[in-house]
Amino acid sequence: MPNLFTLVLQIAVVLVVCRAAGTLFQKIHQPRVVGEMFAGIMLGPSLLGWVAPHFSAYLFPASSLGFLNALSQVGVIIFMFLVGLGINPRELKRQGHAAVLTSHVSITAPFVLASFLALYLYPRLSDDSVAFTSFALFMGAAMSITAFPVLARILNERNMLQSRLGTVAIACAAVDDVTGWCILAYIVVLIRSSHSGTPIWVTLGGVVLFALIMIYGVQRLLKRFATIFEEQGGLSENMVAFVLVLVLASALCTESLGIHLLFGSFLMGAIMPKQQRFVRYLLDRFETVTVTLLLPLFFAFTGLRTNIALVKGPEMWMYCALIVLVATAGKLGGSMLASWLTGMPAREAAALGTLMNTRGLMELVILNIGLDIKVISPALFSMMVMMALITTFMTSPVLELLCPEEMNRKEVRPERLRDGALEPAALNATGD
Amino acid sequence: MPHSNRNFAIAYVLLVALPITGLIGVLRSGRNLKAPTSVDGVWRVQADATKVALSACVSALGLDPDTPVAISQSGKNFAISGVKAGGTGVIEGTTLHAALRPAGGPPSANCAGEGSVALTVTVDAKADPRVMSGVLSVAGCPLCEAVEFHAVRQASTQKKGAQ
Repeated sequence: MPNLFTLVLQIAVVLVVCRAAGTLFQKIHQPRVVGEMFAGIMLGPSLLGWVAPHFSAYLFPASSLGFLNALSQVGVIIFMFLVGLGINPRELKRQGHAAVLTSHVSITAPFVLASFLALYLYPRLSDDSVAFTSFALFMGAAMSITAFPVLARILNERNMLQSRLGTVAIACAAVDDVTGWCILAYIVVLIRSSHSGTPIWVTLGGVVLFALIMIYGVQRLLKRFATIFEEQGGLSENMVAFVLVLVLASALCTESLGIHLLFGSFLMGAIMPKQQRFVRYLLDRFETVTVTLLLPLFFAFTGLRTNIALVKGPEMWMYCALIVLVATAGKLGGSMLASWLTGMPAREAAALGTLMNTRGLMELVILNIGLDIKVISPALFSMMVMMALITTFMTSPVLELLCPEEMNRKEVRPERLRDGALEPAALNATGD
Repeated sequence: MPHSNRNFAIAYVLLVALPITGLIGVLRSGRNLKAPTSVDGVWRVQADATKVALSACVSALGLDPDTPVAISQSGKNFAISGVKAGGTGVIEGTTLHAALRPAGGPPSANCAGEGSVALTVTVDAKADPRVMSGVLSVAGCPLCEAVEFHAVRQASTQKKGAQ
């Protein structure tokens, strides 16, 4: 049984610190989520555990972390559903060749650079129980991800969501996330199948079959929700609960297939009908508790696992700097180069690269999976968390340099919003 | 093929297909790399209880089979945490060097110095489950004898991201 007093105290402290940090970061023109990520780090051994070890041990005793983790994982399951819900891969088709190339380069460039970096880091930060292939593929997936919700939030705040840059960035981020999660699913299958003794092709076959059933079977049923919504102007509480049950059932399916719970919830969101009002309606139902209560617990739990003290000595800090450099060169540089080559003006191409370099919460989700399956070590986890924070933090100021807000106001094209596109209000939720 | 489509195909090959070929090369060459020996996980430590009792510094560490110690590894560096002690160390090949310290400082007057215990062990990387054997020694403590010990890694955490 959990110690209820400790758990409630933890939730209260986490909420206060996250809200305060989020508000503070908003004042310096950063998305709230960046502040909440920092708050999580502050509550962990990197700051609170270092400054006040006894209070930290009292507030977060090791025996209580399982319950905190369980709650935060429920939050991330729903969050991944909301991310999937907000993604519309058809957006990419509307953008043409330029966006297809940019999107694919923004995955391959960081992925390949990360695998080169893995050659250097593997003998230094891993151990012989982790296969190089798993290590390199994980590093690639972790570096090629883009925080779709945070990116959307930044675009929305800067009034750029309807601009050409905004639509290309959203489309590329959507494809990046779908691809990144597919690659990560493969890595998890690769690692877990080696433990379970089940041949990898059996697991992969099961996953592919599940995905086909979801896309060609369940998706048709889900359209009924949108139809009922259109007819009745809303969904009953039972219907909303049923959506939630479907999300959980899908998550359980992917977990039992040998990949992670989160893939199922993400897939369920991705195959949901994409009518703008329907998406907005579902987001309204799920976002408040998820974003204000459960996700801060995830940030806190991530912070408790992040120990910057593990990055000690000039050598380790050099690895950390190298990780930030490679991640930025791959994502920012790759996206910028591809979009510039396909005719985008240099300044806009640089802005697109900067946007694609935003990793935020999605990176933390992936890193936690990596630490759970032990493909990365605690020190590398801490370095990658710092990379996620730095790359997310730098987005707003760099973007301000490249595209000042006054310029965006002039360029905005309000007619761009259409059914199926991600409306600004819908993006507030997950990106906040 | 239209001009724009041809340009797109060329750019795609150069920027996407070619790097993927490079990735395959990297994955192949990386297979020959050697990473430090894995010691991460929970270990059960067994030592001669009589000898442990004779060494004030070592007995303060509270090492016994019923209270396993956890090792958290990051490459060549690792941290040990037990119920009554903790410390950090480095792996060189299959040999581990670490300094352990009781959680509450020097345990008694019989333990000279600051109560820091040096740990030197060799890991048998071929054994499954992995085992290590070594010695706990205390410099500058005439009353503390070196204590030999043996440790076995617990099954639940011995396999990680193996392919």
